[in-house]
Amino acid sequence: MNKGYRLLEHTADMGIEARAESCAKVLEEMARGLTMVLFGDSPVSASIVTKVHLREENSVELMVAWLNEILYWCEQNNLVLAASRIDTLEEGELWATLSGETFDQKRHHVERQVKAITYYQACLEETSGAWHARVYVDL
Amino acid sequence: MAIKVQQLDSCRWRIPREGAMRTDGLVFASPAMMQDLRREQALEQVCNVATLPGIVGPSMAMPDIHWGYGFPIGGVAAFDAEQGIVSPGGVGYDINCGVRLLRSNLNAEEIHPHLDRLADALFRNIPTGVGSHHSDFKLSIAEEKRVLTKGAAWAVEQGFGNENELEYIENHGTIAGADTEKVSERALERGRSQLGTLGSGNHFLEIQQVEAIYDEDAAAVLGLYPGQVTVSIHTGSRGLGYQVCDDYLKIMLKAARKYGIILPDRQLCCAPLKSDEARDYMAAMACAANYAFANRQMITSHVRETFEEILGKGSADLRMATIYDVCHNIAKWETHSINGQERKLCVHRKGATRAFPPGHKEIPAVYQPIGQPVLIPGDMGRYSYVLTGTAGAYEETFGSSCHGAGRVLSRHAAKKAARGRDIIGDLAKQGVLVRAAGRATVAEEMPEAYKDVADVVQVIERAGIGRIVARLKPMAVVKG
Repeated sequence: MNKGYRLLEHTADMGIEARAESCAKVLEEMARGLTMVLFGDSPVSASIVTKVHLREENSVELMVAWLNEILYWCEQNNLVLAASRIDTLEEGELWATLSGETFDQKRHHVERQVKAITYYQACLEETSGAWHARVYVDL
Repeated sequence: MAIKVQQLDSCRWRIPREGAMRTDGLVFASPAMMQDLRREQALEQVCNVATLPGIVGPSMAMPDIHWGYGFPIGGVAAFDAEQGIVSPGGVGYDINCGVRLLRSNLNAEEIHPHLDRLADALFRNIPTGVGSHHSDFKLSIAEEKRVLTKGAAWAVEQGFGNENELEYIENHGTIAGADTEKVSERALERGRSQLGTLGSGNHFLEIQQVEAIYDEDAAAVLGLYPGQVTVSIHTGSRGLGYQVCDDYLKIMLKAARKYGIILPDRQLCCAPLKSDEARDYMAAMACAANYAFANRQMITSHVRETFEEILGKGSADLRMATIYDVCHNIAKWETHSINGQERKLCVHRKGATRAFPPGHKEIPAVYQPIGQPVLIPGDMGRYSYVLTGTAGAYEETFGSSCHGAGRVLSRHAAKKAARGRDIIGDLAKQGVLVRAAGRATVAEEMPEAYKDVADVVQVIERAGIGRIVARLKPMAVVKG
């Protein structure tokens, strides 16, 4: 997993798993994994920036909300994600910055549609000093 | 987790109740399908559904069963109105994803010279792909709310199709109880410009020809004959439905904690059917289901216009009529006989089709002698099937049958198998034209990624939960 994330096999859908030294970093890696599922390795510039604030009951639900927020931001604004940064992370709450650019058929391609991030086997945990996260997405 | 499975006959497998399961599992599959199933987690998901409160009868899976999230795909489960629950995960994100089948007055040879242009025009006229939307069509919020309460009837009022058509849609194209106040602003926003669009993934629009008739009497009632051109439309409630599901999963996670429901999987979060949370979800789900009915109705109208434009014929010559329109991701209030007693149940069908028998009051009068049409798409290279519902399905599966072929390869495995191959070229050599928006979609949706749907419908017929009427061969496929 040298990218920090990897895509998991699933018969109908697809999973994303990530590992990092902190909870914030693992959430950023999951966002990178999601971008790979959606847009492959299209080069993207960070010309459009937005701020995100989310609050949920617990860390797993926060992670699912975070990834769903990215999906919504891309779909509704016709954007491709370039980068995501967790600015502040607290118990069940995060503030983050998303950047990307408007989808351009000449430079970007769509790999596949993700309908939503599911809670199926979703996990976000610290083990042996490293953070591990996993979700399955509905395609 | 090793799942104990007992073979009951050539197409039924029982998973005996154990641990937290409140009932048995019942899987319809051939021995070969069961071998494949043991390699993935779909059987575990059948067991997980069996743990939910108020389940009536077994936790079932149709022969197109495969690994899903929460419920298995192909899952059917009914819950008691008093003791049971509703689970948004048991319906899925694409609420009222479904299939509509149109017949025509055309023969395959007649359209063959125009097929390229027809495929191009359908691909152009019906937006496909990720986030697809109409650039010149955006509903006002007030108008969108009318779509959510009226469903297909709204589309007909706007001139997309005719009123007679509504009879040939499950629930006449409108699920009762829709309350737009229960749908979030974000869901409304996502739905505003996506009505009349196909979307992506396994959604498709297909021009087909009737390749074989197995039940001549039923085919005659449905107006099907060999060589005839038909069109299938497979899509659902688009971003609006995904958002409704996501919104209510959050609510149901809290509800499950509040009502002390122990979940084997967060995606199965749910609330008692008598609770406010469940009532709100059913009202919002009905809105999304109605959006999906309106979506398929609008696409039907675009298909008719496209055929008229390319073939230079009028609607009276083409006679493109809806045979039927079915939901395959839905939770519905239905009355079923359980041990001789009529009971009101909430039947969840997650990748399963309602298959009501001959004589049932909820199917069109003309179909009363044959049962409800059940539309089963296969993959884009081989064939699809038309079945009818049976008394056997009504007695054993709450009037349910399968919904498709069911995947057998993961998307990664399909892409690997497609590497170095020209899937679109190979299909063209077999006589199937493909137009697709997404780069990965064609490889991931290649025919070999799916079970042979013939095997699936044979299990259905052998089990007596559906009757095969006709086989349809693809001629041109528009994919998202």
